[in-house]
Amino acid sequence: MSDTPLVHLENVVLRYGDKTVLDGIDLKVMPKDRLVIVGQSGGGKSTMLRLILGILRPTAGRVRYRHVEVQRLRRSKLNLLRSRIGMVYQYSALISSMTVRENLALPVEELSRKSKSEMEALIEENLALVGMTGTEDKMPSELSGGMRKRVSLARALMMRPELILFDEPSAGLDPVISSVIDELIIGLTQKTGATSVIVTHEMDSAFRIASRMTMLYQGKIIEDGTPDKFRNSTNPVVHQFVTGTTEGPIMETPLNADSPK
Amino acid sequence: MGSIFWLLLNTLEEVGDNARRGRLPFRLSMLFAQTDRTGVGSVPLVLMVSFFLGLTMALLTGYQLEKFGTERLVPTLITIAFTRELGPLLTGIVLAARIGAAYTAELGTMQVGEEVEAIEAMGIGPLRFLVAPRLVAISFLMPCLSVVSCLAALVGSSLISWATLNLVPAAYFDAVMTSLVISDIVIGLFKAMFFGLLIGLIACYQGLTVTGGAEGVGRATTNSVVIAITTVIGFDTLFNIMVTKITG
Repeated sequence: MSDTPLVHLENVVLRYGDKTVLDGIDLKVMPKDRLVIVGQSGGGKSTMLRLILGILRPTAGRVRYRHVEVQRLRRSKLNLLRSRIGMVYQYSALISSMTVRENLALPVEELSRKSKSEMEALIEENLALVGMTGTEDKMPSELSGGMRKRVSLARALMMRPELILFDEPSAGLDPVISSVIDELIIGLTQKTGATSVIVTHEMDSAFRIASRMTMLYQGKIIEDGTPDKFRNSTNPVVHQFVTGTTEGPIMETPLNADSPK
Repeated sequence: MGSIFWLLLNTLEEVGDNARRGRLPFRLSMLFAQTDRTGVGSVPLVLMVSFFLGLTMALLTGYQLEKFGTERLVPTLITIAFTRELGPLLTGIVLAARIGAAYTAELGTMQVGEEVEAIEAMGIGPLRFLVAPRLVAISFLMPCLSVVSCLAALVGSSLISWATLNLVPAAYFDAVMTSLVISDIVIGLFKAMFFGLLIGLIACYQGLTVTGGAEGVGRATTNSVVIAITTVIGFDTLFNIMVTKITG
């Protein structure tokens, strides 16, 4: 494994007005990592994904992708970088006016010079990878939540990304479909060799997927390590979060950091 | 105004970036789809509103001018009023309500559903992909619809003039032809294009800055129509003052 991190958040601070969402985050994502970020709802986890994509800019600190400082990139270079990253949104974010085929074709048509036949083959291949063959002509509204998420994953794979970001991949899904999505994430990242960063607050899912875990609490990283380290953590906050008990130091003070819009 | 100016600059930058990479500035299919709904889809409403406004104007002015025996000035009055002023203004108001509202609601819903962010996250500039085709469609179709508006108003006014002032259509349109001035037509078309750009920018800006879910989309849509209509009327007044000052 290379020592150079794929993504490095260096002492990142993010504030909205007088509210501090991220408070000096230092996090390295190494190539081939399957890093799961856990933490309370509204605690700034999804915000970290948006910082990596350059959609948000840190108030202080730096976000590096390999050796490049993301927030310093010009728009055209930033778009080029984004095309190497796949993002799967919590509610899929498929373009509702486009069919499944058109959704998958979108990044390829807009960002590459592949021929129509190459693109069709790629669409077929990616839909097969996520078990959605035969849905090419369906509209997103005709699909269930789990199916939409799988199509969203197929779309994220279209540009063969080296990093895939997942925002709450199992949120709102029943336990069976949730497990199917988790298995897909593990299988696809192994098959494509992509690095992945998964944001979730569902611990079953987190332990199933993670090769490494990190916990965000009150804007800071309070634990980082293997899933076993998390299970056996002596940190009372981590312990309470893992076990899901109501007794403990975690207070009901969500920061609502994920909804700055 | 500053915000919509920045939206225009950023859209031009994204379009320019894509063009520099040797690609089309935006999808032609998107442009044709927007052109169809903005232009072809608006023709019936523009026709109807302009026809009845032309008819009413001719009826009221004819009734007054008849008292002084100058009812033959009706075609001249309608021609000048519509080519220079009412054609672009009326089309602007109709499009602000019909198309501006649709642009805002669409983009607002996409914004709320994270679709706009997903487009951005893929590295596809959302401004060139979503905003540019809409701006081009509305800017270039406004002058065409303004011409449609003028023609409909002239037909409406000629029919009522025939019925109430005994002004036969042949004589009416003879008078129209002699009253048409190139500068009025050019000013009218330029104004229409500018109003189209303003409406498109305001509608897209309102849509892309939606916050607060479904209620936010509703609020932004109302704001879009109100701001666009007010801005169009404001700029029209400003434009008229400037043109009057320049031409004396």
